[in-house]
Amino acid sequence: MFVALWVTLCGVTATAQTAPLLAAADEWPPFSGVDLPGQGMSLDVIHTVLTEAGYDVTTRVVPWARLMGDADIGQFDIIGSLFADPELEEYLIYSDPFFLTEVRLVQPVGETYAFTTVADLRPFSIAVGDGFLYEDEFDRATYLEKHVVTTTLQAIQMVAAGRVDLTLDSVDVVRHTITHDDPNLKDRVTFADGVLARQDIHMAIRRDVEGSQEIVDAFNATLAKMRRDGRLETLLMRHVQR
Amino acid sequence: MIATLRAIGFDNRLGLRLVIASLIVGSVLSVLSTSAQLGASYFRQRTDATLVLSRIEDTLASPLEQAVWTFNFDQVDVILDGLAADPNIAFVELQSSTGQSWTRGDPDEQAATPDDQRVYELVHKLDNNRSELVGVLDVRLSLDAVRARVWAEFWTTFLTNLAKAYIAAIALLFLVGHMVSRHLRKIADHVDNTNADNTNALRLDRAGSEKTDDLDRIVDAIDRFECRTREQMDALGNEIIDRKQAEAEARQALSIRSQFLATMSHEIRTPLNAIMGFLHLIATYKDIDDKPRVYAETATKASHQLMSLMNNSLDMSRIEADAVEIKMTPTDIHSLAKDWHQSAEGMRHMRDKNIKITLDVARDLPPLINMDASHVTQIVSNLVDNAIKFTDAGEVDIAIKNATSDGNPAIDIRVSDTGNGIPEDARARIFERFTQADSGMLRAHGGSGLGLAICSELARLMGATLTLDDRIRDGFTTVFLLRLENVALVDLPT
Ligand SMILES: Nc1ncnc2c1ncn2[C@@H]1O[C@H](COP(=O)(O)OP(=O)(O)OP(=O)(O)O)[C@@H](O)[C@H]1O
Ligand SMILES: [Mg+2]
Repeated sequence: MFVALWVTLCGVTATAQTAPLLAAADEWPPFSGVDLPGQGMSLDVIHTVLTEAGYDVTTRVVPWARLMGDADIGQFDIIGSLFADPELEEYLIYSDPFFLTEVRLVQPVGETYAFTTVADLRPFSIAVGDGFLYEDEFDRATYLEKHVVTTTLQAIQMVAAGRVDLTLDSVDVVRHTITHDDPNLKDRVTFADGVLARQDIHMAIRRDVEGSQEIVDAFNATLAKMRRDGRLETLLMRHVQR
Repeated sequence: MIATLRAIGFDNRLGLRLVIASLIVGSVLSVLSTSAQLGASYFRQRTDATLVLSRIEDTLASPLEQAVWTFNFDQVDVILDGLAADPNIAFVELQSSTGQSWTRGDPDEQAATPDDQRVYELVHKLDNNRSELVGVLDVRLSLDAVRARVWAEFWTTFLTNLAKAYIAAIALLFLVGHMVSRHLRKIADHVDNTNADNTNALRLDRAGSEKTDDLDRIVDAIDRFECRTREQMDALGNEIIDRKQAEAEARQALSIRSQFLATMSHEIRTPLNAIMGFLHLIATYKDIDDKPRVYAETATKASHQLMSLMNNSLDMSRIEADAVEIKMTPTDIHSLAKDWHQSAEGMRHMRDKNIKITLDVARDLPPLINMDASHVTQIVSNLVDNAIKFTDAGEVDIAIKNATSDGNPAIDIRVSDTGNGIPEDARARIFERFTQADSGMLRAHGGSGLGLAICSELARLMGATLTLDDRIRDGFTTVFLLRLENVALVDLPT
């Protein structure tokens, strides 16, 4: 029995070393993106940590729909840039989080709204990204006046133009969008007080990848080590401004 | 090649002219019909093109406004690209209220003077009855594409129509050749070849039809014309036969008359000669009295007159019956002239005239002259007879000389006398038959008045001329000139 397990483990290790793991994430700056350094924070961290743990990893940025569809049929081994989602745990094993981001409301400069509860948002028109997941209660709140847009930039522009009252997103995403896509917006919008949600960023590996749990364990161990020696912080600061 | 062209009727000039005319008409009509067709097509396409503007209003304005409203510029691009893909849209400009602007197409080129232009205000309606102008869309329409298409269409349609006209024309050429021209040619050949011997009726090689057309009428007309012509020709033929018969009869009658005259003169001359012989015997008989002698001499004179009248009548009838034969032979004019002189002496003696007869033959006359000696002698004898007859005292002269007529050698024979001459008013008539200058003289001299008429006819038959010479020679009152023309003067062989 032990001998068999040992043989299996050796086999997995051998396989892992010969066939590289394929890690993918959707376009979601600054967490992942084709044009970003290291293809974004998630893929950079996943690649660095797993390489340090002795795995051969290839990273790729693909559209969201393709990412999820292909995760089902086993095209990609590792998914990056994910908020934890209990529904997906049936297929995926989540690693320890390596980054925490806050979801906050964005309002025009001069407005002084402060977030209290989702229900309090009822009088406001809010731009939301098509298919974006922010926070459970907010996502389910159909009574809110939500204007669906395609990109975070659009949502911020609508706020700046006064077409909607508010929008919301990860502060890191908002900052990155303003800095890179339309720096003028910096003087026109601001974050409202109050945090809607705090979201951890994880790596997730498909359960049916051979030695998936072992890979997650190795990732977690290496990640903890890098966090301790400060290398993780350095790595993260390449991608976000705080 | 030529055979092929001929087979389809290209040598058919009439058909070709018809075809060229139909081509010209066809081309003009095809230009007109193509223009009308394409004019309609142009207006239809223009209407269609303009419909784009309302379609933008209906279907594109709303999503575009939504995209601008939500700052979905990718979507704006997609929509504007779709709009600009319409070939009739020359220029599109979108100006958003937040300062963005998009353009499609070239604003300078055609859009400066667009065929149509529409400006849309993209207004976003908010729930609480407010609305916001999010952008202005400016669309300019150019119908250049439509025009180019219609133009291209024009040429295609025009050329197709033209090709149809050409094919139709060639078919027409063939049909005209088959249905008309070959029949016309056959009619022409038929008319060309029709004559008295070839009287085949004209039949065209064409399917019979109840109704008659122009070709049938031509054939009928030619048939009738040929019928009439045949009838007239038959009538003409009969008339010719009749005339020929009449002519033959006339000729026969003439020959019978000549025959009759010849027979008669012979039958009369024989007994007359006997009478004259016996009268001569009686007159010269020694033992008769003077009275019967005078009777006999008078009877002899009358017999001579009868004989002369007979001879003249016979000659005249010979001339009328074309029975006079002219025989040109080389003749020794010198010895002939001597004979004339002798016989003139005889006549003088017979007429018992105390006049002098002289002969004057030019030395330079050629020895032999080509002439009808017997007929010339007859003429000279007649002239001399007249001269002696109408001269009571003085001289009768026979002169023969060389002459030229129109540059050709001729012989002039003059018979002159010193008689009482011919009155001016009679000179023109003396060569006519039965004409005598003074009818009173007839009793004195006798004669029929045929002599000069016969002479002049004989001269004419010989190619000679007999005239009264106006240039009266010294002392003579009457000069007759017989000019022998076309005489070949024959030299003696050396
Ligand atoms: N030499 C002449 N001198 C005068 N008159 C002439 C002479 N010759 C002819 N005539 C006139 O011309 C007329 C016609 O002459 P012609 O010889 O024809 O007839 P004829 O002598 O009268 O008759 P025939 O000759 O028939 O016996 C004569 O009757 C005469 O009046
Ligand atoms: Mg006479």
